[in-house]
Amino acid sequence: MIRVWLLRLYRDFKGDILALPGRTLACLAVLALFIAPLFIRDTYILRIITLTAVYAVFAASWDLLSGYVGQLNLGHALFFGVAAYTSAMLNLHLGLPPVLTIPLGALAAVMAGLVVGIPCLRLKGQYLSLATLAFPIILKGLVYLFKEYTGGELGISGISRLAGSRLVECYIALALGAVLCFLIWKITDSNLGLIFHAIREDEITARASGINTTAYKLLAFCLSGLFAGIAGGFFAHYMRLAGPFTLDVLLSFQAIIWTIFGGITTIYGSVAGVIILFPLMEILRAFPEIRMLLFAAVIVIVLRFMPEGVVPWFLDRVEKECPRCKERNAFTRTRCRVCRVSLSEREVRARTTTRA
Amino acid sequence: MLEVKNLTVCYDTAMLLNEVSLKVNRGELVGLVGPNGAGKTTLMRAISGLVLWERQMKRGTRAGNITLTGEVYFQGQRIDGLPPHRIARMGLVLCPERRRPFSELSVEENLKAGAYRVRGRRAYRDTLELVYQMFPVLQKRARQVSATLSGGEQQMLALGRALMTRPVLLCIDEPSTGLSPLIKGELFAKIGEINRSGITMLLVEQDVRQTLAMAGRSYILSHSKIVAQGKKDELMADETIRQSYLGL
Amino acid sequence: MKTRWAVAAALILLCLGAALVAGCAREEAEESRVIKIGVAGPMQFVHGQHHWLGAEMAAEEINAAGGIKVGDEYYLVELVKIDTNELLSVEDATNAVERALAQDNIDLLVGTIRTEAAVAIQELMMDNEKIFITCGASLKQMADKVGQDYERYKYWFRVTPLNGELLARASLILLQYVGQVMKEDLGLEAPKVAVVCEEAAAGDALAAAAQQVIPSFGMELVGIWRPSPQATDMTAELTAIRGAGAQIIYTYLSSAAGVTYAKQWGELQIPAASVGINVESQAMGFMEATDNYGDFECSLNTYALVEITEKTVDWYNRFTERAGEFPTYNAGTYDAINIYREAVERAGTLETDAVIAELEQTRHTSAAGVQVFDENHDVIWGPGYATAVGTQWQNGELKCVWPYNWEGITYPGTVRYQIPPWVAEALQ
Repeated sequence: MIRVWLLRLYRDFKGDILALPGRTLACLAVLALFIAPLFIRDTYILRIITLTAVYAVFAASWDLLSGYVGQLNLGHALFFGVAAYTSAMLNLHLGLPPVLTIPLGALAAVMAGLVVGIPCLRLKGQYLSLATLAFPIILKGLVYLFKEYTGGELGISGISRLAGSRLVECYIALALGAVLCFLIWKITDSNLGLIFHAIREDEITARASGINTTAYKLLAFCLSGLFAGIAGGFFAHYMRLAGPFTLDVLLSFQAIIWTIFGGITTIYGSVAGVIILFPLMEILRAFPEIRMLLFAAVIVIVLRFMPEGVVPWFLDRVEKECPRCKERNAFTRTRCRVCRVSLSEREVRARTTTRA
Repeated sequence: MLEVKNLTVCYDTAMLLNEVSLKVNRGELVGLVGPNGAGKTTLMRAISGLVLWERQMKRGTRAGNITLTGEVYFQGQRIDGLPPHRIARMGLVLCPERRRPFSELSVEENLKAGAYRVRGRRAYRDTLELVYQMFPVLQKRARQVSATLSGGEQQMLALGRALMTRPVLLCIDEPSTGLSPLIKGELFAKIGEINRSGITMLLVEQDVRQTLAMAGRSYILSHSKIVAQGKKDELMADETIRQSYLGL
Repeated sequence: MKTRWAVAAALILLCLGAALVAGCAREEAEESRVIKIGVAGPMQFVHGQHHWLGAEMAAEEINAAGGIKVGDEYYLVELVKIDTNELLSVEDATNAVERALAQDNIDLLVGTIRTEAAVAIQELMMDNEKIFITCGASLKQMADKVGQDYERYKYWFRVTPLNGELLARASLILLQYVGQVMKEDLGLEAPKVAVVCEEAAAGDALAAAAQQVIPSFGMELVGIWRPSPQATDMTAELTAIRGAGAQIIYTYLSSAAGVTYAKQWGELQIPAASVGINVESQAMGFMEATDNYGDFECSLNTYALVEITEKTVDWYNRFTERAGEFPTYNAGTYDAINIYREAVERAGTLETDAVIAELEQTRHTSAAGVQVFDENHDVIWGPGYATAVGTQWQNGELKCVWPYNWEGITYPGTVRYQIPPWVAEALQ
């Protein structure tokens, strides 16, 4: 029984993943990320890997809401900050361990998703975006106002650690990151994802097809908040501190920059964007005066030549789409792996004109 | 006036136009008919420079693999490399598919927007008068927001706006789409009138009967190739053509 | 086809190359006898630059003298510049320090300025059980933690500035002094005081303290104004202050708003003396920044060109020459490193706990005063220790005006506070 299942798994793996260079590389990269920490003693690099995983979830959750459902959210840091503060407060005042505070923080972020979603969903397009921009700013103001509870500018410190060593923390982050990003991707690849896509393309038609678009948009806000919240709760425990910088406007924009750089509306694009850009910022420490300038220059230049993002550009170079069955093939193939149709461009063109 | 030589347009691996050649002489009304998906709109867009413009806009993206080969001459000048606004300024104006008014603007503002070639208030007023004379319904609805016009009125508006540019060659793409037979009749009458006033026209249409009747010469485009051309009688005489393409 | 192969191959090579570079980025551990001291601060800003310059001065002198004597051996000091960018990003700061710990293997850390970043870095250093001497963040809670959890926080010390509570006390004494001068010179019975504290956590504490204490000075509080630290215009507040009849303005301004305030105070010729904490007024370029309207602004300061101790004047001049700037409290990294050196030399070993024990016994004479730590590893304030000073711009020159006969102390070179001429005229 197990052998049959394993054989099937192997066949699926060989057929679906190894057949495409893009997916193979992704698998290799994930594998490398999981194995690497064992060989790295350098706590700084472990820290970078951990934060990359956290931010990958943050960016992917933004892509789910803004890329897939088309509700451009300019205040994504709200979910991150709400979860960070909630986890911190629960840990400090009630003494709850991280394994409880992080999910509870995420739940608080879901509540925040409802609070933002319900009024904002009356709005469309640019107005929705501007409204979402306001919420983290409002919360930041409240944080400064109620200093006794939130610690004001200094935030809440003295939070307990996630695990005894940086290595374990790194693995927890990687595991969380892999599982959550995969979940987000799975959502977009499911019936729910289909409905999200329909709402994004044409809300009126979706309505006419019987989809309660408001309910689904609200669901998108909540899901996005859930994942971003887990990232936020983890972040607070990792930094041992939850401060107003978790609600920064710049943090919201980071998610947008990472996602658009990597390729919007493809969850793997936002993850790739984080993996490329976040360590790049660290590498650019070597040029302290022009660090931000170089960062911006890299993004602008890359987007000039890869306007749809890095990952779609890369995938277009290494994969071909079959003209008949639309399946993706490795660029090395001459015939489609599914329908055996010839993939060479010349023959395709010749075929489309001989029918006249 | 207009000469297209061996024009080939490919979008990625799909060839939309395959070595298409045609000619339009001064004062003529030339028809271009053919089944859906033949490439008629692509030909219109290629002539008016929109295909190359699309390629420039989509450079680097997945949809950016657009190629255009061949030559297009207008009044002796080669225009196939020029940007759309230059071609329009030379007098080759496209009245695009699906009307496309500036929906937030009023009728009069739409017409004004089309008048960029006109210099001077006098000339502008005279041209506007001409258009209103040709399409009195537009004058009636001069202040109305163009999105609220009916299909037929919007088509009149599109034609009127094209006329405001004082075109030398007017290309019209499927004007009768979605219109009732009565309005269609009116529309085609107007088109005939415009041609008789001295403006050369290239008319793309689904309504074969009307087109063949009106046009001096017609081309039949199918599967990205020109399969036949000639006057109405010549085309109707050939059985195969009549049955396969004209459905008459 | 060929191009696709080439592109794919190039990309794979690029990834491999990046991995290699990352792997090789770590430096080899050095065998030679060196103590690596990390200097953390926002190096693109003046605070970080002063951190670095003070540390550099100390390191150069120590190495010129042969290094730090540990038992029978001499260890040279090597500084590691850490640009924390903390004013803009707390997370950036912690990453930078982690990098220095992991890749440069620093033995101790001095510096930091922004409180949020300092708190996060404190946690990080305590996790790594390495000594961290703060030279810029004044939050008292950082010291309280040492008392609450000694075993974990014992590695932390603060050399400068005085913690928030002490700064408040010192600045209020400065206010009292100015009030005294106003009473004596102008015959005012109960000078009216307006409080201007920027909208920040430290500002809250000072405003509250001022409210409580001002009546006991024999002065009258006429109003409290809380401008934003990013304020670009204070004419509204200043006009209201004039309208309230204030004769002294007590300030807490730690940001660039301090320049705006002083400039407009002078331009509008508000008939009130200005005293308190205005960090911008400690800088050499203050007069130019305020178009000379900032003259007669008086602020609490750490250093001044008077003989706080026998070392002050010489050190002050040397730093000013090196930096082209008057030293601000961030230059206390110089003292931090010297205090560490003395502790190590007394302990005779680099072993952390032994050094900490000696650090706790510190009694160090520096340009700022005599530095001694209390039981929470925080620098003590008071006569005979570090008292801070009050500096006032008098006719374009920065003079020390306090302590002036305070608790029997007047540092040689100190002059009396001068009431701004237009204020004296208006209130005569």
